[in-house]
Amino acid sequence: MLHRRDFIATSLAAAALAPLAPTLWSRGALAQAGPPAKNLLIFYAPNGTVHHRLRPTGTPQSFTVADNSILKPLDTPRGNWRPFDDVSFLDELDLATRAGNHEGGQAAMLTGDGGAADPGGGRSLDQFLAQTLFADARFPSLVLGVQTSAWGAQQQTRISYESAGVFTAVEDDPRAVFRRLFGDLVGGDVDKVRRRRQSVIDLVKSRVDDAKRRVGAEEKRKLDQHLTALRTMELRLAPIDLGTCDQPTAPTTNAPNDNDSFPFVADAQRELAVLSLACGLSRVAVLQHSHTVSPVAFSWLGVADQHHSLSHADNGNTVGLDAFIACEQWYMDRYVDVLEDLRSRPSPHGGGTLLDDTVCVYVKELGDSRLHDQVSVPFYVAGGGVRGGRWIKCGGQKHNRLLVSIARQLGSDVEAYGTGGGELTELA
Amino acid sequence: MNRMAFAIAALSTTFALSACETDPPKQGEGDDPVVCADDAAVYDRVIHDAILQSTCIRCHVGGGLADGSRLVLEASLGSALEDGDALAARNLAVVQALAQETVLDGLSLIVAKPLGLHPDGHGGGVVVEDGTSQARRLRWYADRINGVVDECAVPAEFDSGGVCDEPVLARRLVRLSKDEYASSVAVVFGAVAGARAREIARGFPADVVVENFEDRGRLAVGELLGEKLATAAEDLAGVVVDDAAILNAAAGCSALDRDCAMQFIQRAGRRALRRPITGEERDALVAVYDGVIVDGDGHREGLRWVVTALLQLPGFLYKEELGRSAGDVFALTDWEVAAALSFIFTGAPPDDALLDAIAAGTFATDRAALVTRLREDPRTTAQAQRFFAAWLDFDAVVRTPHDAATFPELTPQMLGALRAEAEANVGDAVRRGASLRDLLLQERTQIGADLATFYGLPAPGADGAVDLAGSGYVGLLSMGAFTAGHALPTESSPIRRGVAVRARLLCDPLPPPPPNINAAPPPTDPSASTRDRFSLHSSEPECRSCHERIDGIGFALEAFDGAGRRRNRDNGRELDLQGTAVDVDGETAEIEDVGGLARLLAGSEQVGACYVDSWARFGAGVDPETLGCTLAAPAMTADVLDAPTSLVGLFSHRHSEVDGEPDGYAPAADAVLDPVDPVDPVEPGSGAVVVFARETNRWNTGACFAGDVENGSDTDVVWSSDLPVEGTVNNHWNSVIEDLGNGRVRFTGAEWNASLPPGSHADVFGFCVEF
Repeated sequence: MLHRRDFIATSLAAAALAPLAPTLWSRGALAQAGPPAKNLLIFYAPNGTVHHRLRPTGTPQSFTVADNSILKPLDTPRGNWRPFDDVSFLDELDLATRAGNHEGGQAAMLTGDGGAADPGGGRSLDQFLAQTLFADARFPSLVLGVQTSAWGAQQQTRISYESAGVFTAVEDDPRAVFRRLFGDLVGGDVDKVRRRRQSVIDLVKSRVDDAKRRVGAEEKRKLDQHLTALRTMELRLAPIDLGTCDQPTAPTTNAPNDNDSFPFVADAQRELAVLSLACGLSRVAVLQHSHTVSPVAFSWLGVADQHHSLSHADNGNTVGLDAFIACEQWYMDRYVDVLEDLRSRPSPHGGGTLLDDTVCVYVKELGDSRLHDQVSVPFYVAGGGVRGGRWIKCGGQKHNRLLVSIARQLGSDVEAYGTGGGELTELA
Repeated sequence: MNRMAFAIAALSTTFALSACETDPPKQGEGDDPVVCADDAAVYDRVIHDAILQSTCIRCHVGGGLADGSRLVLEASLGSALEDGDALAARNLAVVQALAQETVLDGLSLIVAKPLGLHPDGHGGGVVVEDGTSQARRLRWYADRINGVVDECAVPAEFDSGGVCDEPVLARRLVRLSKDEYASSVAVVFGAVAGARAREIARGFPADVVVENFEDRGRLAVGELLGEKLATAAEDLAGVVVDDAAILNAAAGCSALDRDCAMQFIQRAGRRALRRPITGEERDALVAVYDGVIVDGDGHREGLRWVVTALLQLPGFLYKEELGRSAGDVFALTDWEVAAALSFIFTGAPPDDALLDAIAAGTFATDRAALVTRLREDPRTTAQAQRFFAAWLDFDAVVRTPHDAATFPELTPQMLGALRAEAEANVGDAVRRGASLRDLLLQERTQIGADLATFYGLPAPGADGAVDLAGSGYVGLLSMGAFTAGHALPTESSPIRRGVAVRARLLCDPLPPPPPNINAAPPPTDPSASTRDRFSLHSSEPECRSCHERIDGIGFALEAFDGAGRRRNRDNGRELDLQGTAVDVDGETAEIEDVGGLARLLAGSEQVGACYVDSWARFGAGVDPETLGCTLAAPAMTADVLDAPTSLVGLFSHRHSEVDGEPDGYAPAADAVLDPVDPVDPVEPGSGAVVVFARETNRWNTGACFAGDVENGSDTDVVWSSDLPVEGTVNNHWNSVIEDLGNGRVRFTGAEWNASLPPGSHADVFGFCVEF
């Protein structure tokens, strides 16, 4: 069976491999070629898990994955690649959260439960890294959703925070994402249009500045957010540089908010997220599937009940439980899709594959879905220099440590995130 | 409970408890402790009624989920069994003791726990967000108990006593909602552009929602929306300038020259900004136009970029509620009041006629006339439909997945028809002048033949209505938009329906279930009815404290299946439609079937109060919880669909922010709201005479204006006009002036120019002001 390393060795120059030797989180690599990871991709799917249908059989040293385990797609080879070889399954990691339940877990998951005064400033990890490390990227971050917005933007439906208590907007329509990413000016006098857009932005900025003089602190914050938006828009007036990427074709997904469109939207958003990293347009991408208390019915699997209802099926309800596991396996398969896409593309930053450059982490907001708790919340980490093939028991450590480790892997020097600190040494 | 009457001191920052008025506290004088307020009264007013009684008590009660915690409250005060005062005293003692206990940096337990700041967190349920009114109440109360603040000076904010009489709210900018964006484009550029804007705005990112309504105060322009607004503006500019009819209608002229462009900017600017465009704004837009002309791209292209800019101006995107300094507070301007009320009543900004009337000072002293005018606007119907759709969540029926195998008849078309039924009935109610009570109890509905067949009802008559008498369907709650919207994919859900009634009609949202509770819906049992399965499930002691508030209401709706159709049996079992509705208007009532529930709600003061509070959040972006007073709820029986009239008082005054005067605030900046030749050219023979002031010069402390007169009549007229003037007139010529107060000055011609012939007359008079 071929290993991921084998794949790279056969497709890329061996010289490029040297600094990416099997011991990862390697400081040596960091010293030579910047941080081990260049990009972050966060994959989210809601409503917790059922541990006895999740965990492998055996010990972390020697384990197998049962057919009815949520992990099965990780253990199912795709061609000569076994996804689990690239993935570390982090078990027994608790979410740091004060409030608990769906909402508390959702809010704490990427913020480390921090407020404005804590490390990270109440921002979710994606926004923190986008703002502190990748502000010069064309899209410092992209937050792409699959049916996340029918309930509006609120604690239950948002996982990304651009500042404490302020949600990052989510784009649920792949067609709109495509237009944002690749829909540059077509025809006409391009420079002239840019100049005029610039003059409009200048005008609007000056009026927002003027409005700021007339309001108090609270509204000033609102207008500052507007000014930040205008400045970002200004940067994007520059022509798109697609690097080695070809202009891709636009997605055609219609009715992205219809329940039955869910799998198609998920596919399209994944492709766009991966493209954005592959073409060097973005450094941080979030793929948010639905939201906590998810109402999605996996009709394409023949499942009629809604995901959240199923997530509460107790052990006596075998039909409901099996249906929930089928949904969870489907999500895991989508995570594997992301990894497969990432490893099939070269990195725009030189060297190996996009997966070698990208930390791809799968996050959830709850541990046991039936109990609404934040104990043993499963996380999965792959790529970006993280060694795979592991089932890591974290012994009840708080998830802040994982957030710190990911941030450091991408070149941040944070030592704490949210309400806790230290690295997750087990990941090294 | 001790219901002492407190006067609201709306404009002061504190109010005195009544004992203080006769015996003012003398701090530091003598050794006597300062006793100025009844502890129980302060406790009741500041935290019991506003937080403990409304939120905490659902779990922190004997038999509740937090029964084992140190905060266990007495729920029923003043029951027949035990003396209410004794129970209230027990609550007070418990809370006082907890308030005195501190953790961490001296943080009181009654702050640390509910705000989730305690090292052990809050066991579950609801965490109070810091910075909210509830958090401020808890913090202040803890400080009072611990002697940190003057125990007599209860902030006026916490007086939850009387009816709101023009409360003083914060100065703010309220970003347009998606709907308001579209309706604004329609008012500025006409219906075609408005329709396109509505389509575009659907793609704007989801806005912040709190308990069913957009949180208006928090709507902002982030990166994604900013980009989309820019794209939308370019798109809409194309719609406007590529169609000569639309362009000329907006401009009021058709010449391809700079004068017509100027007129376009004035007219469209006033509509877009809901006030006269300022000289600065006008000049900036003209500069955009001129830039395109210099490039040689012509008039239309110039206007394309003017429109693009106009639709991104903060004055367009944010409704201004800033006011002008008037002593201790800021008085909202006529323009601001009219715009705010117009959006509440009609969902749209003022049109030209209303703007003209404002400019003419028609409503300066007569708010009632403005309200009368807005109530008569036909767009109030659509606005009521939008409100009800948000309040009762008409979209739920379309959004909730329905299992195609169980309910094959629930096609997308059918779901759309169910939503449309609810909307049509609201529209019908508005047109009939029906009340909320009528809507809940009416034995008629507006449906098409397909839906009539679906429901098993006779076909509608010529008026589109079906008589429901004797059918078992009664009012809004029996419509599929509600019953199938709040259902599970394969069956009815008494829980979802009960929660929807509680959260939406009674404004009593329930806390999420705490961790470590098995909240699984009962598995399907072929031999049991839905009611039986859910009853068993909710009888668990830890579930009961919330579910007793939900289930009894939901069970009364069990005659409707998961698709919203009336049924006689459920899973072969007889239906049991009896329910106990707990804590509606503070009472427990036995109800049966949708009719019993509807009658209970239709007679409930709580529903009436919830209705107007919900309107306040929907229309005014004001959360009544932060008001510290109660909005007058219209009677359930009379004209109640017109809740907006109850909100008029919210648009009077504003206070500066808690951190003091806004930075850099200067009267000169305020003066940018001065009108600059705001009106349309007057056609000869139209009979209209219009007077306007054109700014000719401006400096930091003053400005000068030239007055122009358009005589659109066929004969000489004696002109006179009341103009809004910022600052004080310190010089004037060719005119006689009379100060009318409220920032208005009447200008009349001098002897030699009092009468003017038909036509346009520039520089007829002039004046200067100092700020």
